[in-house]
Amino acid sequence: VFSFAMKGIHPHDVATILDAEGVAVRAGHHCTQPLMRRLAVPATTRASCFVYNTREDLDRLVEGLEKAREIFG
Amino acid sequence: MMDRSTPALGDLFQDIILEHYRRPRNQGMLAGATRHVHMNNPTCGDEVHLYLRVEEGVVRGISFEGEGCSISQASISMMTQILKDQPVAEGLRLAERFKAMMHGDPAAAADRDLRDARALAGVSRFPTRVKCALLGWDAFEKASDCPG
Repeated sequence: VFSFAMKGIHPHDVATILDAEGVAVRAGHHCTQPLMRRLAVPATTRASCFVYNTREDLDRLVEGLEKAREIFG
Repeated sequence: MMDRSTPALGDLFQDIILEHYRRPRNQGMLAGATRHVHMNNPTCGDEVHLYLRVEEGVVRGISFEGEGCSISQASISMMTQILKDQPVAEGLRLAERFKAMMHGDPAAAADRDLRDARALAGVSRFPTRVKCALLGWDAFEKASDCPG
């Protein structure tokens, strides 16, 4: 499980773009508002991988993130 | 029948929306503001401080400070352009039109009175994002209740 932030793109925008690409992630505070404040981020995007995920799934995640960067330039 | 196909991202992240997000209109505190409302969406952290200067029932000044996703911030920026120099009562009517558009009303989405905000019509197809687009308008409705 890993949380991340993309410079200049709000985590909810990242999540919507990934959703449209068929990649389900969680975006938000993850019930850790004090940590978000400490890290000075509005929220983060979180990807959770498990035994059923494949390398292709992760490739799709990366493609989705590239698409997000493309949209928000 | 309701269209259940996957909505296109292009409907959501249109250039005009991204442009308002990057270069918000009427941003900052407002000198001589008669009303100030703070609203946030605790589940996602989107936030707005809306400042109004209302004179004889007309919005003569409007500005905002905010933080959040592209949809919430662009929507607030567009709203400030729409409401400037409008009577408060007309502003409330426009808020209803905007809400109707968020519920998928095609007539509202074609209403020229909503100006740039019509670009947000596609948000109605992303139910989780509707509340983002409504944040600023909710703040305006709350501000309109205040005396002064």
